[in-house]
Amino acid sequence: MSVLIVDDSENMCRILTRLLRSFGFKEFKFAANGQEALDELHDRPVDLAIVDWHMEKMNGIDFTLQMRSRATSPDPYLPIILLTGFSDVSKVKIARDTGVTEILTKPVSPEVLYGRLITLVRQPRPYVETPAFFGPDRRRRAKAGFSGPFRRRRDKGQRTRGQMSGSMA
Amino acid sequence: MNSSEQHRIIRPANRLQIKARLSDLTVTQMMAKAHEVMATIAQGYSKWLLADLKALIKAHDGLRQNPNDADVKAELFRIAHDVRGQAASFGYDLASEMGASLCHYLEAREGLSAADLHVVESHINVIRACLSQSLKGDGGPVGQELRVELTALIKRVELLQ
Repeated sequence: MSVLIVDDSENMCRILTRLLRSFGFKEFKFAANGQEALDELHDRPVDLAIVDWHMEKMNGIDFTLQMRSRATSPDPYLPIILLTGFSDVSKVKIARDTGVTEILTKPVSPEVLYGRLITLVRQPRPYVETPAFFGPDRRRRAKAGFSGPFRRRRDKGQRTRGQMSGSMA
Repeated sequence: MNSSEQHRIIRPANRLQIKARLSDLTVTQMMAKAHEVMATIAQGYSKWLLADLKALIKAHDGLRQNPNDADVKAELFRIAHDVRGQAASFGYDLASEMGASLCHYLEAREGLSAADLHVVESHINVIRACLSQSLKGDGGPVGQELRVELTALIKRVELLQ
């Protein structure tokens, strides 16, 4: 399994590499910013990217936006774990709406990093394409008392007659 | 066109699951190995923090020469952000807290006044104390005193602005 670590901090790259190696990862690629990462991915694809939010030139959010731009992306379905020092709800929302797959808040611990990896492997989220968004499904859990609109194939039994006429690819 | 027609659900192949056999170790063994890794890094982390401290001092000196230098301010933010993100992983929670506080302070300001630079310097001094006095965790009573002094200073400066 290959991983691209995108961070302008050499120390953070060292920490992540050593932790991931202890989990069995063997192939590592590195980039110091989002632009370098895009160039790297055009040349050689990877299975996973771990990307810091705050970087000069191109930050992790802009990198994710580029990756989820289907027309030009080297790999629009690449799982992306965004590293951030700040877990404010507003920032989490920005990350989610950009198309980040998982968020990892610093400081990094072995348990939390492993947890994110396991989530990616065992609970992969489908991708959603709308005119305004492309990326992993932003719904993480069923909302108690949700009354619609029901737009998913699996929501079929819940749909109203009007909604049933909509087609889904 | 209704909302159903405008959105599509795609289930790409789970490439991670296909390659998921990462290691022959059990989860417990992998975690033990990961914690050994963290402990080894922690032994040498003070050197990394010292390098960050020197870089913070250099950036602060640069801003004293030219308070409007956006590149130096960005560099100061970057180092503070690194300290915030790394120090707590290796027992320096107070240093990490200072990194976070400095990032918040810098984010809220376009240019930096002399008073702002004094606040920056005070953050750096607390990180220096973390190293010189081995203030691990929350820093104990000394850490609490430094935290209170810094908070009071920030309030004073904000009242003047």
